[in-house]
Amino acid sequence: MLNLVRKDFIALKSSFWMSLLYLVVFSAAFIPKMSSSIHLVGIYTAFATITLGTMIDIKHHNHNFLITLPIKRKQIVQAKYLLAIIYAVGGVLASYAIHVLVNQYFPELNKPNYSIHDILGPVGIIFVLTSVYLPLFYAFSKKGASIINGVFFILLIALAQPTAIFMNMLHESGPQSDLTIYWILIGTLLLFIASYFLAVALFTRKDL
Amino acid sequence: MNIIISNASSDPIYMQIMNQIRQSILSGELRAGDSLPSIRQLAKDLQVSVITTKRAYEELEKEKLIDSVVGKGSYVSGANTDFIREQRMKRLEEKMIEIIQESKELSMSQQDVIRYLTLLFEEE
Amino acid sequence: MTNAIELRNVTKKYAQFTVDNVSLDVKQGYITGLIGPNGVGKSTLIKMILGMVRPDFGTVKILGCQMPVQEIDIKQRIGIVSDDCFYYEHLTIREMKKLIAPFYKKWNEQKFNRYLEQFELSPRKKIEQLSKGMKVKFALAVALSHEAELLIMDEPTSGLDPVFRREMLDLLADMMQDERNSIIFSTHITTDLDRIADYIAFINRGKLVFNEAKDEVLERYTIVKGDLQLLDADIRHKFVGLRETAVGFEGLVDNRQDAERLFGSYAVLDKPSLEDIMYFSAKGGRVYA
Repeated sequence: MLNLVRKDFIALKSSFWMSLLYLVVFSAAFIPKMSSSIHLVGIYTAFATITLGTMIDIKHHNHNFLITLPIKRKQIVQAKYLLAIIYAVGGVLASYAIHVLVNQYFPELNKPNYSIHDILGPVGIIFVLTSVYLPLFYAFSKKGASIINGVFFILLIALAQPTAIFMNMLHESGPQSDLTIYWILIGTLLLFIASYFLAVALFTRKDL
Repeated sequence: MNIIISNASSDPIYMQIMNQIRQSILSGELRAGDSLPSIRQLAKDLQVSVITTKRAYEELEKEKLIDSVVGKGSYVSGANTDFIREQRMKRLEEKMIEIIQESKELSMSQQDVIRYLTLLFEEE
Repeated sequence: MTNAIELRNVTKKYAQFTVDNVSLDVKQGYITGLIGPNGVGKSTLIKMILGMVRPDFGTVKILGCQMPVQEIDIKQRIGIVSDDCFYYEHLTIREMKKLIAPFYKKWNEQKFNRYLEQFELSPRKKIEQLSKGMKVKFALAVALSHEAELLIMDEPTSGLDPVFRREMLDLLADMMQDERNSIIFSTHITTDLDRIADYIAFINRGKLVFNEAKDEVLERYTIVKGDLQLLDADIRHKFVGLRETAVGFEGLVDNRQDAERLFGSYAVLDKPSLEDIMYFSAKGGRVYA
């Protein structure tokens, strides 16, 4: 499976500048204007990178190639979910790093101080999105991937406001509702795992 | 040893291979103990099916002209030079019968044929 | 004799056609040619062997292992060369190799480099810059470099020039020097198989017509050419397929002795090629259907 992860990195090597570009563009767009920019930059960058990976697979009929290699279909799905985790964490941490720098050099933007919630929250949201996205991707792959990607981008834009509200809630609820937050996190993880099994079931039955 | 396969020939390919190897053995070009190319090597060289070369070798084994040892390959049978001589005699006989039939068609008598043959022998 | 591939009662229904209850043995140590017109189930069959398509019924066994349960073991030991191999177009040959090699336990780097040299493939070239034939060469290099015991070739020669096609036959024969190796070769260009195939499996309209030694097939069938007046209803039925023109008929009979008895010297009997057999079988069915 690590070979499969490696495969995605090699395949995406020449496209990682796109992820950086996303990071820069989203940062430039959100940081000056929105108070919850830290979350949006992370979520958008991570999710854009995930779709970048799936699009490159679709463009090259990658599943027809992967099927020739000594791996099981289950492992192909596994690797994609693992990559989603890596991209989620990577995107959110990159966003966090940028915001720390912004706080340092542009204090006039008046960004709040960030807590662990500002990392876990967006990671959770990406997990939820991915949990819906990847099974759809494996169910429709070639035929529907570009449509699914389009729908998800509209969804992401539409979600900007609710995300901000949700993150505010996290902040204002204070320590007494920590328990609720942990329940939400556990729920998210369970959803993510269930989604993985669903994607495996869909993909192993599929004719390529 | 050369083996040449003709697509124009009406003989199946295995028979062409068989005839030419047999010819090489009977003519003495291949001697007892000489090794033959492996079935798979010969198939590759002639660009024919392995089954074809295998069949040619099997037929030659039946005629006791070659021996095959698993793992070692095939070689010209040294078992009986008598047999080879016998085979060659048999072929000679076939040709003589041909001559007799031909001469009958030309209405030559036995004496005529023998005389003709003696003449040719002397010229050789 | 052991089998490299064993299909048992494999069935797959599609809207347009059905692969119908196919049982096929691909013998170990030999080259089997899978022939048939386009769109009759050849590629579906290959896809089922590779596990890309799951059969509705039936079982697939490869190198003694069950698909898809032992898929990983199987794929370590097989090489796949396809008409359209789906590599990442934007990568170079070297990058693609780096991506593929770690998957295989028996990857032989020296062999791979030797094949690249032999095939005149530059490792710095991008996949998208390769012609169809060069892609097939690359796929072949990959397949031969991980010591595949079974080579599965799906229409590999359709994009190749005649010179390399001949060279490839030599490479395949090289692989067949080891009698543990096997090759299945699907194609509609039967001239490649006329030369080197040991067995021929003929698929037509989703069904296996025969799977026999090539020499036997070619000896059993015969082409009959003659005067139209020879044809009556009974005689027509002897033909697998028949082509009638203003100046005579030409047809395929699947029993040479029968044909010899039947037509004697009234008609010309010719050796068929695999293409003849394929053409008349495909045509014939339509006439009598």
